Amino acid sequence: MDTKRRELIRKRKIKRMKRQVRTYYRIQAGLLAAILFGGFVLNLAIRDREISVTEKRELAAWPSVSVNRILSGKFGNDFETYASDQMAFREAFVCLKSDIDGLLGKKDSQGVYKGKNGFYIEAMEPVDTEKLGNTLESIRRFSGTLTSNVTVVLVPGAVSVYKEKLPAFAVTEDQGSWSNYIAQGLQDTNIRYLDLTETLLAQKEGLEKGETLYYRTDHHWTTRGAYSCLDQVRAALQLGTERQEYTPLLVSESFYGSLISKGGFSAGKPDRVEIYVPRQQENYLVTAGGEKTASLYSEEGLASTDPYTVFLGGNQGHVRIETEHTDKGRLLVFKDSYFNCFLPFLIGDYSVIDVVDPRYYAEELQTLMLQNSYDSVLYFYSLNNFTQDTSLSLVLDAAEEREVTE
Amino acid sequence: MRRGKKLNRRNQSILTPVFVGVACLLFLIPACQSRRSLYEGENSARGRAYVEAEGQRDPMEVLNLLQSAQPQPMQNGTEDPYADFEQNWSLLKEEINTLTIRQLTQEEIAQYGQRLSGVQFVGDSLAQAIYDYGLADGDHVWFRRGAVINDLGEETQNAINMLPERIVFFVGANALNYYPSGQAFAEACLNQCRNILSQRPDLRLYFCSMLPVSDELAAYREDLTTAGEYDQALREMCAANGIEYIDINWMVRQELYIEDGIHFNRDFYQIWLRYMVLYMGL
Repeated sequence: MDTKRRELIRKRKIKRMKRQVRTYYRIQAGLLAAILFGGFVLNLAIRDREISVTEKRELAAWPSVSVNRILSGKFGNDFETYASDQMAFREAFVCLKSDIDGLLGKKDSQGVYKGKNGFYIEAMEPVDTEKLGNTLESIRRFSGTLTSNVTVVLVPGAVSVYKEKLPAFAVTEDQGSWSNYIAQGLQDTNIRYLDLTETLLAQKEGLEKGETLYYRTDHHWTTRGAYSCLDQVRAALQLGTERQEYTPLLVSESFYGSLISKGGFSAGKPDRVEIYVPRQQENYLVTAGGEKTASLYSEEGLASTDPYTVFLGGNQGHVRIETEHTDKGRLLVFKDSYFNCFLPFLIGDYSVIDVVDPRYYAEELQTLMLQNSYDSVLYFYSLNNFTQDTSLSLVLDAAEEREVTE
Repeated sequence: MRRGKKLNRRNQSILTPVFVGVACLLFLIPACQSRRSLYEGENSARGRAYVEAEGQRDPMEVLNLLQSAQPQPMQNGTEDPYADFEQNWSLLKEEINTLTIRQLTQEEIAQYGQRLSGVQFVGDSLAQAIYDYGLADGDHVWFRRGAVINDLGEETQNAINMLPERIVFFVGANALNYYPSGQAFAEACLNQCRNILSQRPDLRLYFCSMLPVSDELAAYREDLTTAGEYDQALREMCAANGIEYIDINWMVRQELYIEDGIHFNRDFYQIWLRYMVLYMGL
């Protein structure tokens, strides 16, 4: 009897355990199916985004479908990019990857180093000497046609100025050697070349607590960094020593820059954005984007997730500033975004400043040249962008071709 | 063995939810961190107020300040080669009559652009051609293809935002099938002018003639043959309301139409541009 009873109990236990195991495996399978199916449904349900605010770039849209594109494989490649860009919770996954990489000792991601003291430093990209050569040749040829003073100002990245903040064993291109390469490319011309590396290195010691020459989370230099180079740049432009005095004014305390997004890092302490207000008010008119305004600063830019766009509202193909200093000369500037925070410092020195960003410029440069006789032409770039840029040579060459065909 | 198996299954049933929980945390923490705080503190309040105040400065006031600093036009001027209107107009008419229209150099176009820097052009595809032929830049020409005068509110506002001294309207045959009569068309033009002058009473407004379509097109499109009536109504409205009417009918030559019989070629616009400068005394 006892034996039978024990046997019955044992069989019941076995049956219960088997049921538990089956339930357990069913739950596992169900969870997996739910994750896969749920993820699929979620990705279908979520509307496609056009722009990634945190990565500050356009996201891939649904690729066009055609038999040719499918057979050639282009549709497949484009769909892969689309699926990756439009995946639900993409940013969270990118941050997760970055955190895990950090735990595994990896100190860089997508060309951005996670440095010391909360600094994120962008590595200099490898330089294509042919592209750089084309740019230098175009500048030489274009400037050869001018009677104006021509100056090239290049701003090094934090990778040169804040070397001590790079993680140990970080390997990056030497910006100094490329600066020398550019200087050699511009020698024997009437072009003045100014590399701001030494100026910025010298300024590091004189900073107050909390001040930096570059943003911790963004690839740009701070307005403080730009201000520290003001006298050097003015000397290169052959402007006098008398100038406006400025007062720094904090406009944003929550700037998370491009490097956080690019590297997919978790956000830490935000950066602060300042503008430098002249002691004596300047009156000027800004023409940009088919509109005239009386301010270089953009409220919309300041309120956006990229407060650096408080300067000029971001990058535009052509911005014209007409000042009250009608007795002073005219300046033409070819630039990248580094110049945006520097521009307010030049308002008091010119009657007209035409600022051209070749990446977005769609007008006729030749017409601009003919309508204005510029006293000075300035090329103002970050060294990294200058060595990678291809649009400047296109704009300058098109203007030269137009002149030749006339 | 059985005990090991029991422990194994027990471990599985405990550890699996633990792992899932940890994985969720690992996911959630960066997911939360990826949504950054955009709180602006009190420290930046003064700076933000400054930016706001600068943005609210009236550009028209600043323009007047800048112009009072120098009475001459803002951009470098050039010698006016058309000092004598009648004489120079005759030269243009001669070119049109003989169809030997001088091609403008890039330098001349740039100079005309300087002279017309205070002028904004608004219209339909007839205005678009000014830009398409490279005779003016995008900051001075505002157009919408197929539009009638009623549709040009946004373009007109863009023109006003550029703080011009003058606005020139150049519209064409779209109106002929939209407005039931020349009077209705003229009334719409007048309303547009009133809207503009309510914002900028100092602006000088111009309307170019409503030009006819080509004879070839008119032969089989009877609906497009009433341009003369609309043009007359426009002329009368301008005269009655102090708006300037620029008569460009004298420029019309069959050879200067493009294939569609409605629009004009580059030669026409080169004469047109020179006449605009001449007419406005710039």
